[in-house]
Amino acid sequence: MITLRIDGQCVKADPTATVLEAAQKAGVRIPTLCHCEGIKPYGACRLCTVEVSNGARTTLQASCCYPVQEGLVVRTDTPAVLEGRKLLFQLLLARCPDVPAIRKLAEEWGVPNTPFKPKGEECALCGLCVRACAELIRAEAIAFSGRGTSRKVTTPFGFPTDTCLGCGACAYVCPTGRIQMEAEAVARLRKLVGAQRKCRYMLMGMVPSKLCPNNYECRGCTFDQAVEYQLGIHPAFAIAATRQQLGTSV
Amino acid sequence: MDMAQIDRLLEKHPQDNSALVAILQEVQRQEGYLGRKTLGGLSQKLKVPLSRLYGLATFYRSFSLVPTGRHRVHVCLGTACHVRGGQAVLNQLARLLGVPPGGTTSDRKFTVETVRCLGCCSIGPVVRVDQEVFGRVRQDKVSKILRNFA
Amino acid sequence: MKEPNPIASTEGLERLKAQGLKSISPAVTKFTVGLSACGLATGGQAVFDALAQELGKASSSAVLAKTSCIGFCQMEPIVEVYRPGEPRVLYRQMTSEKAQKLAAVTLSGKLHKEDALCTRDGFPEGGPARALSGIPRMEDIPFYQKQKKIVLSRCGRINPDSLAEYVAAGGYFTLWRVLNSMSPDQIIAEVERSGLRGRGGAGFPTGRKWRFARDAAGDPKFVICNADEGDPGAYMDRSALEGDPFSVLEGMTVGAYAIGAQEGVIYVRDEYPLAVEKLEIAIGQARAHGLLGKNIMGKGLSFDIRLVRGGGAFVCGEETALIASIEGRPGEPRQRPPFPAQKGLWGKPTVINNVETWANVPWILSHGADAFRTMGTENSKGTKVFSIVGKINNTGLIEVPMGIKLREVIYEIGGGIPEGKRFKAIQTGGPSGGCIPHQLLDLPVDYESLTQAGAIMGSGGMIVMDEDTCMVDVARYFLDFLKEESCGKCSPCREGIATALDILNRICRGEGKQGDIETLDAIGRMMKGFSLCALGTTAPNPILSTIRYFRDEYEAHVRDRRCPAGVCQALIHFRINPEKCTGCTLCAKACPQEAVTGERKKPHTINGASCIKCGLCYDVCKENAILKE
Repeated sequence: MITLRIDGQCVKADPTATVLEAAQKAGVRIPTLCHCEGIKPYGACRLCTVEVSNGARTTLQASCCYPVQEGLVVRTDTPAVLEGRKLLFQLLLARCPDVPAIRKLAEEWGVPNTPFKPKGEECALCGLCVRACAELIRAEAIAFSGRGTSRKVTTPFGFPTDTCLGCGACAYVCPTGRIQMEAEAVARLRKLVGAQRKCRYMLMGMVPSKLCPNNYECRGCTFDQAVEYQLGIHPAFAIAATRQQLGTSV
Repeated sequence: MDMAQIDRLLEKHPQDNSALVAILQEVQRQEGYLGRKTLGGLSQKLKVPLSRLYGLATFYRSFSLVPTGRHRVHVCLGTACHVRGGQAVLNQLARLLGVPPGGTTSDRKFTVETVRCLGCCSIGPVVRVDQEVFGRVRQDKVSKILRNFA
Repeated sequence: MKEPNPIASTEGLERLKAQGLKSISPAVTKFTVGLSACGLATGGQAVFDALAQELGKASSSAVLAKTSCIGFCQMEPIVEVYRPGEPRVLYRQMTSEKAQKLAAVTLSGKLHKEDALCTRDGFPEGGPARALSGIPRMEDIPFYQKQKKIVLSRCGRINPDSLAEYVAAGGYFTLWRVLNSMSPDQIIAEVERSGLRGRGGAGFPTGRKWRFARDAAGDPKFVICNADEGDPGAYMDRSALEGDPFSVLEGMTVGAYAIGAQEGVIYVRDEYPLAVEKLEIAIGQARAHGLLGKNIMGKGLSFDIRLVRGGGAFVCGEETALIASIEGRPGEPRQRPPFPAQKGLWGKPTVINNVETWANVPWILSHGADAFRTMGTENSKGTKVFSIVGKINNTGLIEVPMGIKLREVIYEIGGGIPEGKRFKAIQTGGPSGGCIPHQLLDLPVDYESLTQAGAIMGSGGMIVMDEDTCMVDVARYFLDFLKEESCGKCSPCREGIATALDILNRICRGEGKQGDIETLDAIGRMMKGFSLCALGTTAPNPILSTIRYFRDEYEAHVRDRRCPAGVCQALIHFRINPEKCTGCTLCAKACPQEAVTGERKKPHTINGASCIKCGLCYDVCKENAILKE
């Protein structure tokens, strides 16, 4: 176990933990947006930035990606952290002025308004949808395109794509509610016939063989409900474990 | 590109991820742009998700998803060229050809683009048309340069 | 295509050296033309062709050769004439007509004095040059006087395609000695002791980076050369690669031996096709001579180098973005730690260094760390290559010892500001750097001094600005550049740059508000601490440094709606001075909006309502009759 100090508190952490994980376990609050348990940290939103000092150097770092070190001194409340965080919230509010989830998060952290011009975007570019599709489902049906301010999440060329399984993992992890990919994928799946009508759990590699019993109405399907009840979470997060159990690498 | 042409192109490159950008550059060179059909074919042959190729195609400046003109005109807007009046050269070029930066003339002859920088900073402002680089360009001499190209 | 001819002995090297010496200094008259990208862009090929024709006509035994950048780019195209036993002479701003004359006079056995720039020392043996009846020596010319060539010692002096000439100029003897008598630890110790710091801009101690990679667990290991020189205004790496590509190959081979790598990658910008071509030729020759590949020089080291071209993205100069690009992904940086020395390319220990850093390695190992330490300051040892461009008389590439004063660079080497204008600022470090005003011109050029002044050393671009440059426009320009180049992954950089640019655009349009400057400052401070990579953390530097030293210009734009330098189009207008206007109608003809009216030989006027402020009239007027106010 590693010992570090967070806001004056002595905290013990697993050597493979990040500063964010250590802080959360110790009950120290740090804002996050692009962080989601079960998906690798990405460091895109930067809201979780804190001050870290290892004796030799003091810098600002994104706590979701920064590994704990013996003797690290972390502060989440220095003027630089608080001022920068406030400004960053203001920029995000300007980017997504009509997204309730962002508004709520900003208000929780004491930033109700923004002085900057609203941009009317609905996506905060946290990347959770892309990362879930790539890391958990391994379908890579959606990805980032463009760069800088023209960066956005799309399917290739903006057209419906065959690689989408309609699993809904992207919508599940999306913090803003922007992603709503399922409808097109479901419409496409419904056009299939006979043995091609694979259950999405089979498409995700979680069961070896099952055909869809409910015309891709996953919400009303008893099999789907049973599986989700057992897992307690969206099936995308259980795939890795299932792959191990089944010994497959779908 | 059809599948046979794609096969021939792929023969010249190692079949690992590090060649993806080089392969796309080869297509850009041969076809003048990266089309949906060609990218789809590449995705199949390389067993790489199309979204990944699309991400590369839209991230890097050397690619275009739409056909470019016969001659690509690059006006350098690097700092040294900027300080010596590069923006005025670009404006004049855009006016003469009737297209905004990034645009292609209706007869598909010229595409006007900006670049930063070409590394010829001592002789700015610099304009490159295809492989030819022109130095010490003044905005009133731009039409003369264009006349060199059929 | 030569047969493979591996070199595995000093005899082999000596044979190549003899061959190279004969071509560098043949027994006949030799004309050499500088044909790097700048030479070609100013008409160098026409000069070369004219000389070829003249030599053919005279059916003389004189030879014609190509070289690369000679450094004094203002004077391109440059031709060097070598007559056995005589000092080499450089001729400036050549054209095909001037070249014909030069050839005719020289071949008749006489010294051609017209267009002569200077004489040069003997090469490769060195030694002081001799003046020649009225032609000054290179070391007496202000542009060259304070320079010290290490990295650029062979640029513009050898044919970059020729391995033999590289060896004749001392190349690959270092690698031979190193492989025969030094251990990897000894090499790393020597590089550490030299004090060499990364020349790409960050200035991280090179030896220390090598040591981390050597000690790191993981196999295979990699060495990478970062040739993604994206800073606008900087072209040092381009010239080094076009002019002396073997020095980079040799440096990387030494590095690979030191850290235990077997594969190397040179990542070159897509915008440098000539550099790519030169590297391909050099790599091919090195392989053919057993200097790359398996069992190099018969000493058991296996190491080869791949060329990877960039896709057109400034952010790929950042090391983790560069690595992502090689791995076939968009150039998005990732958070560090872990650093590339521990987990780099394909997750393996990787040393990634800039072109200039690699090019210093053979010199340090052949002359020794102590010799390197005699140059430079306490914490910045050695020399640095800079490009001086912009509003300066002598534009070009220079190599100077660290610690030289900015004043010396601008006024002695650079020859001061053209047209008698006033110096305003010198911008260093590209989009990550800052502007240094005249009151700081006695600053020594080293890593720490420049950082403290609010700029950075950066890769070495130095852009000189005069009274006609608007510093608010400069900040706006850099942000405009960075907005296109930001990868967009992290919000502070993506949103911060866009928002700061909005504010600056407003200010330059005359719509600045009270509090704008303070907001720019706050955004800048946030970006410095919260951004993911160095593009984001250094993006505020141009804004912060111009606010620091030129706040009055910002105030003039915001408070008075005025652009003192006469640049921001919305804040200036053009007017014809009726006392100077001769009615020659040049301006009226040039105007794209037909906004200029007047009769021939009578003063003209500009219609303010139609004027789009393009400045064409200002540029074509020969009477200085157009006022910009």
